[in-house]
Amino acid sequence: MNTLLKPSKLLIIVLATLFISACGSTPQGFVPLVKNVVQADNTKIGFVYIAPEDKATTHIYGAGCLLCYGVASALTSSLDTHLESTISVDELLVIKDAVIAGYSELNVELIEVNLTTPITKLKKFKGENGFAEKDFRVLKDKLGLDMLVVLSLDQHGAYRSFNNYVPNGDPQGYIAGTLYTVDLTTNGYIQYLSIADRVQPQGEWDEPTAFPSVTTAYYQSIENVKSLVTKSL
Amino acid sequence: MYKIILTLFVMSALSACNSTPYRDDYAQHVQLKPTHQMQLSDITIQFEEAEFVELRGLYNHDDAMLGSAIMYDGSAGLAGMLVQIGAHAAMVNSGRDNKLSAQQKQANKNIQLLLDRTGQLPLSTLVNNDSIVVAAAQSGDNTLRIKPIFFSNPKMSRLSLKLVAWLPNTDKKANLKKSPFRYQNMVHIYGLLPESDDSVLLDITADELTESYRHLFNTAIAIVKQDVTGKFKLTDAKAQSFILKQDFRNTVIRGKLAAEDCNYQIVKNLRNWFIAIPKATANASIAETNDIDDKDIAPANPTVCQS
Repeated sequence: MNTLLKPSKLLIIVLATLFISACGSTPQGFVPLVKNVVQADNTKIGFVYIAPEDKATTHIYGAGCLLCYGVASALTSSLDTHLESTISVDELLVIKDAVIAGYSELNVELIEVNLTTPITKLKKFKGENGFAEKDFRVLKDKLGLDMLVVLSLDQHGAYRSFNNYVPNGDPQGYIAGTLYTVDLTTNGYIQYLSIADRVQPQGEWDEPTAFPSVTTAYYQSIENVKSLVTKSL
Repeated sequence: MYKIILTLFVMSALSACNSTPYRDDYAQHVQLKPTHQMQLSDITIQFEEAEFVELRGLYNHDDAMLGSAIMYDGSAGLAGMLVQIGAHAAMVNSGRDNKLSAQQKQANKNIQLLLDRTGQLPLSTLVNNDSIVVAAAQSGDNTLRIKPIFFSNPKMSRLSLKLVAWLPNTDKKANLKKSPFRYQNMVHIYGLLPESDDSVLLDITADELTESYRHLFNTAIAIVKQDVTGKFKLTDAKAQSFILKQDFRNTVIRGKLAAEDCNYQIVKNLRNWFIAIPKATANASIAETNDIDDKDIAPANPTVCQS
């Protein structure tokens, strides 16, 4: 009886294992701001703010099947309508202002820039942890800058965790994104801060159409992120 | 399949037998009709389900459960599937109740020293002379029913009070099941936050502690009286974020400024509750704050305060 695998099968298994394991790359951890680097004389630092592309809504996690997601969406639909119609991305500008004010406290003046090419369209950079995934070095000469601070707020509104069809908790006020500073010469991070703030509403949450508790939790989340950003600088 | 459904049903029934968390620090706002507004001099007060100061620890409201893998039996058909989902939901809800209840119990344990110190302090001894307290037998149309619940932070350095106030609906034509109240609202008032990390409420004298309760209680009653007499005039301005200083993290109160004096900003929040935010952190002892009477809480106008 042939108990050994054929070389072709073995090769396929090895390749598949390598392919799957490559999907689980280590996420970038927290990098505290190296203040003396950003405060160095004659350093030009740019600042890009990327607002969320989507309107404020309820972000659903844990609804593990298509039907579960449909049920979860139905359960949060009136909250979505409220968030979309009453909360504008402009509410998040206080976080952007907190970044500018934080650098100003360090006697660093940020130069606001508009990128003609979105960051997602930049080429990949093959570096280890501690280096940006995209190659920012091309921006050095293009923008005439030494470093670039990026505040990217990706999701805002509410967060609700599900266990398939069943909610695990109330919808929480929610803001997610990243704040990072890249050295445009080395492509290394001078700072990296992941933002994922969730605030539990106080008391009853399901009070359509104004949802006062979840709305207040959202504004509490803005305050928390503002405070987090300020403390990180 | 029936065995599975029966098991799930029994599990969900049993899980419902566990402890129930407090949910009485909440009130759905019912606006008093302008034609029903009261005269300040006519108002009397009745304590409802409360005779002594009830003190609780500030608790974490987060009752979210961690996700756990669950498999539904696919052979049970649509009805069976719905039963399984119902049983699963009952178990999750029960778990959330247990978590919240445990957090509330732990919060009370954290302030046990202050609970012991407060003892049984009668509410009637805290009320200022300008409020008339009546027993249930003497209550009438102008009797405000109130239920105060005091809270302390874990450090036992700051008190706050949630005061639920209501007027029963006495309209004979009204559907009392649907509209039991003519008026209902809540006032949440905070004491000053001391700058030091000490357990100030344990360090002050018994009289000063009583004074701290009295100050919050009478200010909250004054705010309710202002509300039912139609003194708060709010503009159509957009809601703003007001910041309440806390031990670890500032709290956002979202709403409109209803009134302001030298000691407090009174904000009508998105639920229409009145939140009284102290204007400064305390340099001095909590008991040094002055009593507030009805006159002290003015409608929102620029106020000149002496530093």
